[in-house]
Amino acid sequence: MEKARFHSLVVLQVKVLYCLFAALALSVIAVLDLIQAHTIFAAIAATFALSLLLYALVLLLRGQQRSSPLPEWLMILALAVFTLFGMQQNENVVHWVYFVPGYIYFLFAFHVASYLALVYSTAMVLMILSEFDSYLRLQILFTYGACYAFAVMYALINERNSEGLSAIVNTDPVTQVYNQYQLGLDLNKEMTRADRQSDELRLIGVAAPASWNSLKTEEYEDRLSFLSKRLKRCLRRFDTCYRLESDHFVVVMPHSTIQAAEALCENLMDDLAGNDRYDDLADVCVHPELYSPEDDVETLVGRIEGALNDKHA
Amino acid sequence: MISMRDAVQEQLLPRLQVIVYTLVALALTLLMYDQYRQGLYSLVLSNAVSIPAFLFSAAYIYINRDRDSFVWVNYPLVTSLSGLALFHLPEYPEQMIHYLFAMPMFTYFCLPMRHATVINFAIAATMATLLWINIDIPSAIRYTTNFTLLVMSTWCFSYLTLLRGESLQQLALTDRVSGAYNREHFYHLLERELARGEATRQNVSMIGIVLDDYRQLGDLHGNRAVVQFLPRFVKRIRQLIRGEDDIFRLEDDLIVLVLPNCGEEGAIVLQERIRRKIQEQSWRPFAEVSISVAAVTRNHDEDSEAIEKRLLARLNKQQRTSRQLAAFSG
Repeated sequence: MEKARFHSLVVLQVKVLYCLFAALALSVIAVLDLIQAHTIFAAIAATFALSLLLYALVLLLRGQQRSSPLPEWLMILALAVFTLFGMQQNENVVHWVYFVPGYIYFLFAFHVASYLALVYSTAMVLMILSEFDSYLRLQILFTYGACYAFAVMYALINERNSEGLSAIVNTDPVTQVYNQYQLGLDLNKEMTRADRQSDELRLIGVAAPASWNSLKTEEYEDRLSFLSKRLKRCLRRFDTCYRLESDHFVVVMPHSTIQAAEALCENLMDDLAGNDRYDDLADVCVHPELYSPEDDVETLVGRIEGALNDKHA
Repeated sequence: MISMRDAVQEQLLPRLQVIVYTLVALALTLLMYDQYRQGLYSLVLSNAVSIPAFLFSAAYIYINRDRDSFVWVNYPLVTSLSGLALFHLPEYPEQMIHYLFAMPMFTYFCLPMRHATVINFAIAATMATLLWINIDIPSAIRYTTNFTLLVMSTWCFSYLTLLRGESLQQLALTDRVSGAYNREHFYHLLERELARGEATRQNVSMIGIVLDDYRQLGDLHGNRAVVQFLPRFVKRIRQLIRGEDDIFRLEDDLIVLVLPNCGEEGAIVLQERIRRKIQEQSWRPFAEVSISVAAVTRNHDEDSEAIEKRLLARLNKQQRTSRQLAAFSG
């Protein structure tokens, strides 16, 4: 199994387990509220538990298909509203405010989460100051402040970490081939080697069918991933495949004759033609290009992209 | 938090911990003043212990921010804070339950994930027992359930963030600290170059460079000095090789160069040039940088694993010889 898929499977399992555990915990709270005759709170806790249970089931049924973040956002909104209004009726509700900063920073991008947390915190502080007596209010504010600060710091560190890692990720996560940045680095080296050894360096541009552009993101990425796998099967052991930002693929073929380039194109088209997984695989365009000493990376890549776009048009 | 291992993060984490601990100490001072006004003297006493504990931890972390040892100060801090809160729980259940709810976020922020989980479950179990004995069963169940759910939420937050970082790490080809390519990319590139060498009948050589006193450099000058040194070191090596050669950092102290279309003689010449240039250069704040260098050229039909093994064996031999020479000359 590919690493990216393995990780998304683990994420799914963690989410499902968390939802089930939270549903169980909320059911316990609902029963306790019912015993203590807090019927409304029992109903609210039971509704949350049921929603989480349903969400876990939906996640399980959808499997590894990407699901919308909307249910999670709605759940957070419901929790925020419940804590703000519920704490006026029952002081036990105030424990739930400590969950909110963590959830917000986990579910939203850092800057969005910062605004949301600020708005929520302002409302929450006003509520605490007006609803609670001096015996508890500073203690509640202290704990909330600590949870808020730790959530911010935690998110900040992870944000920086992701930013730093993104800068050195030169592999495309969807297709598992190298990205355009890496093509720039590698192509420069290949050009130097080709010049030094007076050898032929060929590149093959491969464009996905234009009809794929109208597909949903998930389906589009599945097809690109499929195409990249087929493409990789046709490469020689020392050829390398890259995905450009325009979603075209480029194969770098050092020490190659025109026959080797044509053979790769033919193999790819035969392989795609013999495959009935998608209807329009025959519309995949290929374009071979030869490096000449006056070329640089930009002109070479630009020439390939131009030719592929012309074929599409 | 396991994701804190990374060197760049290691520079940010202690600084953030210092800021947060100082802020918490300030907030506790306010809380203590309020508790004093309300006559909650044993809580005042407890906070009078917590505030210096936070300030001491902040100072300790600041002083040791470039060393790995700063993490250990968090264990006594977490243990003493949770111990004090649990000690006061029977007497002041309302305040202390709120106080304990800050522990999950705090522990997952400053301790490795597994340790934080164990500590939080220990707190949950003690809290449940104390509430059960001193208050009533429904309250014990309610508060412990809420606390456990908060622990689980924070665990999920940490774990999924860690997982995201790991999957990005696996897609990365470059070592963040030195700027050289990483081990992941090394195997792909070596396989490619060996296949290419086979097809074109060209030699492929490798040079291994080991920083002899890597651990001592970190211990003497701190991690930050090493983190600043490595990119300079890699940059200098890059200046000595050809444009088509590649440079990899396979382990903390091991740099490997892959030299396509380079025979044994060329590799040995380059190896000696690298050794001379590195030893000639000044590497402040380090007094000197000692390296062991070895070169291998691919034998007929040798695969990537075999050539790597041969390089490492030659490097080990080289290191042993250097140590023996140093012992005799000393």
